[in-house]
Amino acid sequence: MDHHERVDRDLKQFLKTKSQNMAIPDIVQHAVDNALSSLPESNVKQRTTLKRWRWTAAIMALIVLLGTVSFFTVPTFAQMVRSLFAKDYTDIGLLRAQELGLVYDPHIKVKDEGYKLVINEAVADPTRVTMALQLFDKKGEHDRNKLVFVDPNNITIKDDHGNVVGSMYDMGLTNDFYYMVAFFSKPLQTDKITIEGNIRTLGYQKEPLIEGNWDFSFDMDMKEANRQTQIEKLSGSYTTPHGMTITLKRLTRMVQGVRFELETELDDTAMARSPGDLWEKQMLSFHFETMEGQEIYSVNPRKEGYKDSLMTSEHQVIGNGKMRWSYTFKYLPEHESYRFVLDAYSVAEKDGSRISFKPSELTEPKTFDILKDRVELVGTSLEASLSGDSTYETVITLYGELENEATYEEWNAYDPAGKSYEISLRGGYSFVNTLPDNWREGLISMGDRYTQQPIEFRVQGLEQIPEELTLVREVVDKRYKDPDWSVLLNEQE
Amino acid sequence: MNISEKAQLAKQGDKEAFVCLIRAVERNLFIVARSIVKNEADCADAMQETIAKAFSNIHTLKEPAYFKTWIIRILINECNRMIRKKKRVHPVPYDMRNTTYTSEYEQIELFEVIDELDEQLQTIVTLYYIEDLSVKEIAKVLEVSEGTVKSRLYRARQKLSELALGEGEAKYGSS
Repeated sequence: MDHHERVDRDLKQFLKTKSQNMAIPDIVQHAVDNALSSLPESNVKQRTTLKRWRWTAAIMALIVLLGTVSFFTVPTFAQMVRSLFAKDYTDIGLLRAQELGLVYDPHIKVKDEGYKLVINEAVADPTRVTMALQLFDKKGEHDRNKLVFVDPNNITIKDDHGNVVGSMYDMGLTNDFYYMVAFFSKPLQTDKITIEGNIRTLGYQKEPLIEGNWDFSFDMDMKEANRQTQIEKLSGSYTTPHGMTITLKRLTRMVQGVRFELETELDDTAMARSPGDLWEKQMLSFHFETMEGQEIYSVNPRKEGYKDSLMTSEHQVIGNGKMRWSYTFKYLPEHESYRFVLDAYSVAEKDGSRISFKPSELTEPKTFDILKDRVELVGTSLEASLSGDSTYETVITLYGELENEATYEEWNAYDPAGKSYEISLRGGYSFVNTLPDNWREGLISMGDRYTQQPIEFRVQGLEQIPEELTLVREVVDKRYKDPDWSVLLNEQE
Repeated sequence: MNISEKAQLAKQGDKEAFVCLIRAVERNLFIVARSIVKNEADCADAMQETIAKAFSNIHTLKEPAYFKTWIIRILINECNRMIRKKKRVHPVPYDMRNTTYTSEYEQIELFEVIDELDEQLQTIVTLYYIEDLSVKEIAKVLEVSEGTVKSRLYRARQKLSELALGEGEAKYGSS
């Protein structure tokens, strides 16, 4: 599974969970009910004309709202930071940059083809660069949609040696300007950065493209931001019941964020369960909480509704069985004590769990339990290959509830002769049975029982449904939720 | 409920089967409609028209297994027709000062994420990540090339990662 596939899986989980939790608004439900109850008895090529409806009150409400909106003037970047903060937007790092006077005005104004690109505010520190970009049309109005950051348009960041260290993208969040950001997984080590914009086309959806030159370039001094950087050494080490030792290393406080670093090491027994490079496929789940037990931020929890502040994270191998992890958060408490709590972790391990079945006997769902995970086979069919090469492939539809993680699991299919076939997966995952006050409980659901959309195991190259089929989970993304460790951080005298 | 079987029955004129189908996909239809037209009243209009059109044209459905894709296509056409008629006026522009958006992710609702994307990405993201349509199916439904779908998904992924997962561009796989 490559990076994009993993991101896609996470995005599917997130968006599907959100969509499942969403109720259809009453006015939409009424419209559907109305449409269904108005259907004629026969549908034989009859065109039903439904009377369209509208609530006058809704229109009136919108008119009032539009009027209210037009009262507002476009705020400055600094004002918006303030307004974000006032609305509990916990980007304290950005606010601190403003308070320290690190909001820089590069005075960029580039005009071509009647459009003017303006940048008045930018903030940079070793964790990220944030910038407000505006585009004004011939009437002097800001156009939030005209500029799309795809080839040939781009904005890059270079260090003082001219090396490209990042590129900016539009974070959205506001219509008042293009909210451009770049995050750095490793703190930048440079006294100066150069922001270079290559903006050559304007255009949106099916509008004709406007070609021109809105290129810009400016430098930002990083010395003051670098001076604000403080490093705190952390101490604390723990070995889990299943052989992972976690050691806290250090906390780096920067203007716009906090970098948290730790190391892990697997013992020989744990390494034996994950031969080759399997052991490198790991994930940590932890959270920070106040002394009163209130959640500050969580990373990879199963908790229902959790607080997230993670800007970047990465891990790298530093020895056999050893990994160094770093996470950059927007904020962690500076003046109060708080607690780091390890909730769980996962490591890819060899599995070999088998599910054998006769497709012809799959007339009703059949359930299999493997390593605390449950798989329910729903059906088997022969379908055109998704590769579009006019071949067919066997498709197994199924639901599942996983105690383990799903990111690194690998499945193969075997026909009665023992020939192995690769399985590609199609469908969505989501979390189920999660709790609002528990970071460890909950399952990963394969497929969506609510909308009756099972996932598909597509067996590539298996062009006939065999009499018997065996599915083997070669690798399990084994999740351990038995750590019992927390560490007091920022201990006050 | 088996969608294919119900769609086959609906094709043959079974009204009850059609009603079952709509009940099974009404949430999907709302999510897709809401990704195109931005207010609930317009969603309601578009869904009402779509249901009526689908019922009177279900005999044209070639492959019952693809009922959902088929009706989503009708819905998208209906939404686009509505937008053309209204000349794409946003009745409620998204604005930080008038919403309850916060960075605390448990409070982010689905459309607070979807609405943050460029408009041309919103429907594609909905169809791909929520409705599980393949790139090929999306290309067909939206009448654009597969390359266009792929490039838009590429663009959407980065921004969605930030909005939905709290990832920066340098985040690797699992954190």
